[in-house]
Amino acid sequence: MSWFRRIFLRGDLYGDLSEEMRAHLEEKTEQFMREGMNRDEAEHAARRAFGNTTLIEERSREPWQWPRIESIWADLKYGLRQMRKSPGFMITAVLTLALGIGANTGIFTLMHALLLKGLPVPEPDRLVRIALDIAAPNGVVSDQPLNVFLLESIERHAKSLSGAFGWSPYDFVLKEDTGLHIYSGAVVSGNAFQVLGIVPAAGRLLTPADDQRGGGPDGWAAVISHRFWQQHYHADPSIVGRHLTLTDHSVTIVGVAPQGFEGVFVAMHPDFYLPLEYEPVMRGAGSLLRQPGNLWLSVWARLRPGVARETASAEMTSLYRTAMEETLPPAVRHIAVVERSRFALRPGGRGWSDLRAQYARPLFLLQILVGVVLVVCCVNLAGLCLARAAARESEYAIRGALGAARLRLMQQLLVESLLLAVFGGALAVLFAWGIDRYLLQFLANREAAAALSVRPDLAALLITGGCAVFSALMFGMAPGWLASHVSIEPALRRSNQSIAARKDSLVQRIFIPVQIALTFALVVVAVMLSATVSHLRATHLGFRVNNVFLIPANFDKEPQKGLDLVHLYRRLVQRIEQMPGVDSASVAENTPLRGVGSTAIFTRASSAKPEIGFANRYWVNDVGPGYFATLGTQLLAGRDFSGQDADANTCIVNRSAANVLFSGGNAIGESLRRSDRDMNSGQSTTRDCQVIGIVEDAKYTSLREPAPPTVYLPVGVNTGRLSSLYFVIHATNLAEAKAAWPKTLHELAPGSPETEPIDFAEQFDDAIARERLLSVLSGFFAALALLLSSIGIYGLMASYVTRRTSEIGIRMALGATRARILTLVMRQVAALLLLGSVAGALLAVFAAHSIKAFLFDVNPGSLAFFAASVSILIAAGFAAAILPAARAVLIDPTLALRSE
Amino acid sequence: MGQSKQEPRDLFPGALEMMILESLRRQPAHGYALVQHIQQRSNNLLQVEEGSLYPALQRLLKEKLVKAEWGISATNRRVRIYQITPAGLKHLERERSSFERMFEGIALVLNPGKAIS
Repeated sequence: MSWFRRIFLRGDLYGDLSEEMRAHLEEKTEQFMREGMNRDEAEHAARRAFGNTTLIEERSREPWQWPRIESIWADLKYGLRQMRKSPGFMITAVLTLALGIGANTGIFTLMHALLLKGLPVPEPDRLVRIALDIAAPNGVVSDQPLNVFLLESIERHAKSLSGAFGWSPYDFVLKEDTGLHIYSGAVVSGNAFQVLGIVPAAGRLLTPADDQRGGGPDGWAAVISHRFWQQHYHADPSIVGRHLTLTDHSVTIVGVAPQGFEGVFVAMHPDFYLPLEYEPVMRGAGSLLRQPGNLWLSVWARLRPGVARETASAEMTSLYRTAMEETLPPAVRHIAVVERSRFALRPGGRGWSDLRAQYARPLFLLQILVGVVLVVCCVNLAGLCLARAAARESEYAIRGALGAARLRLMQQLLVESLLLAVFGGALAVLFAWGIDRYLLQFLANREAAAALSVRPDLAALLITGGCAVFSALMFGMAPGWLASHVSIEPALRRSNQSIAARKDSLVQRIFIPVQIALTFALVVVAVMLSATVSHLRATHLGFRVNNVFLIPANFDKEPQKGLDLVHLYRRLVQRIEQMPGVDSASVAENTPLRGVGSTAIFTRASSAKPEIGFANRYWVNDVGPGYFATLGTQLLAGRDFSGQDADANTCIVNRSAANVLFSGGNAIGESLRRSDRDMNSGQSTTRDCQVIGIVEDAKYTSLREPAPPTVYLPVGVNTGRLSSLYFVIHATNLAEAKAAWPKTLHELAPGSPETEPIDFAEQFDDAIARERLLSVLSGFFAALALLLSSIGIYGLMASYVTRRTSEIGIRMALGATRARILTLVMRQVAALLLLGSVAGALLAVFAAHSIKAFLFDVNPGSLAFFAASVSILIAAGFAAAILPAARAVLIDPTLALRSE
Repeated sequence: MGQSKQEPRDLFPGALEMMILESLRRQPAHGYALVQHIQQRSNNLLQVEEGSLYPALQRLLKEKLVKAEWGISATNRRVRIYQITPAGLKHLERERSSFERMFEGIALVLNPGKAIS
């Protein structure tokens, strides 16, 4: 028999079989009649002798089938039919699953993109990153980059590395027909691509020959990204050899990086790669390349084949001292900070990112939360399916009576669950995509958010599939077991209602309280995290964030330097203040909440022997006149900077600094001594300044820590990054003020590129991005779990009331008041809630303590939060029971009794 | 309900198929006739269950050891008449010899000392 016939003409085969068996029966009947029975008797006898025709027919069909597959196929078809028959159930189930699975896929996708995805290079396991771990006296270790001298020293001595290279992100200004545009990129050692082991998509990659002072054989060689190649040159291979003007100098495109290669920093997307030697060409005097005391270059290396990371790590530790002796000026080789530091070798195969440190734990927490949500979804569905299975009990009994095996019935239900899970999973992918788009808005680094690829990829789809199968098994198991253990006879004999009653009590005993318990924990977490955000928002900042915007200046190309540049800033501030919509304006070297700031050592100039050390480190910021007024920071005593050159040797301290430095005494008029040590030359310098004012405390880099003691210096020739200060503008009308900026810039500094204004309020939001992310999502997940639990309670109470309609009718007829009926129903709900809350309390306490690190001003043991969470649960629980309760109360006793 | 309780089925797997093939080798027959034939030939010692006959027939059909055609029975009824195929004949021979060897073995074990010619 051909396959074709087996599959497509099976209907004929089966028809033949049925007809044949009918004929057989008739012949048998006739024979019995010949033996003296009447027709009826003969027919019965023949049937008895023949056996179960349906079963025989099914077994006779089996040789033609792939029985397992076909039975599953039949189950699928049947399952689909069942779904069409109850669209309400199907929609609820699919949506529940889509939310549960989608949340998991969404968080996982992000976690994968940020934390788990490997670099697209061969043998990423052998790639390592070498950092300098600098330990502060308080034990906090910071992971710092290295510099060229340290890199060269490591390359000279390390035996466990087969190659090492430096990498530093750099924003290039590309001259295009439409003007100057900023593209991100990196300056890298000439051997970087060789050590990474990647192959160009066109042309060649950089080589050590390109990384020479003055450029290589092709002049300044540039490698462009595959993305840039496609978007700007339509992947035309002939662009190799073309010249571009990149940050004022001509470079030659020598090749294209492979597709998907985004450098070694996660969530950055460089478009240009240039040799390290190009850095001094662009930066000029500000170049870091030949500075032995600056830390700016991220160093990466490849382990020699067969060398364990521990071995290499030990070698790095032993190399540290040598490297310091070789690279640092003698005066600073043994200062405390050098003594406290060491080389650290970290895995580099997955790249590196600041975001990773920031978001690893929040994402992990979210992953756990969504896992719990998925379990709640499954428990909810298990309850729902169980109720359905109970309603379909007679169906299972009939199938059992017709000869269906237990496993066969179980399989049917599992297939139905799987079907729901597949639909749910498909919808979940869409939902996950939406979640990720939303989630990325929270990432403080907006460019990184745009660069992170969160398209659902294979790993994410696998997780989705895994979640779907997991949940199908979870919620399909209980009803499946139930269906396969239906005792046929009583089920066929009894009325549906009494059976349903038995099942309901099971649901009640297990599923609803489990949901409530899990939901309780989720709600507690959400409440605490949202309290954290509101506490952070309510903290006293010491400055205003509304109606303020910042503009980073980019005055590298202005002809003015030093004092002339200071005067240019002054003129710009005066001009912008005259513009419509602007209230006041100023400049500052650092602005609060960017997460970065400077420190310097200050002592009282009058103290006999200044003790130089970590304890005398103060936060420092160079600001222009009017900075405090613009940001709304109160001047407590003395005066603000005047904006005159005569103010060069003055300073303003905040209240904490005044208290620490002058022990609460009068600070105005006293002198402070700033001590600096240049790590490049080893030179120590001191400079005195006179305190002219005291301002209120203001937060600086972190919202969570108390406002640090801070010294404010006037913007002047000694300001570190004088060409890239921030304009701080307080507007009466934001839109108008922002529009005024480009005009002012073109008028007074025509050669400088325009930069985008940054809303200070947005920066504030970014500073609490992690907390907002956690709060919003945990709130959403808790609400989801709450909704599911409510649906569960509603369903249970609705069936409770339906079942007891006649009982309630009798009670009413016997004189029960409506209030008593209401109590009867609500007591059920209360029992469920009580059971769930008690079970959930332990879980909630545990959850609250495990999120301690994410909280701010919130005591995880505080009863108030638990009480609030329980109230939310109770409110939701009773709200869910209102409709069924109302139905119970409105039962008309006469009608109820008549229906019996 | 369910399948009938008195289900001795075959003595060993393949025996029913062998008997069907042997019956068909003598003459083509339809299902009911096959039951009758086997019953008579075994002096009513073997009762063939319809519950086993039809699945067995379908297995043989699938293996192409028999073929079936619609025809008219002696009682003038439209029935499906089975015929043994050349492959079926070969199969029967193989089965028969292996069955005989097995039977011989069993007999030797059960009646030690008595040789069977």
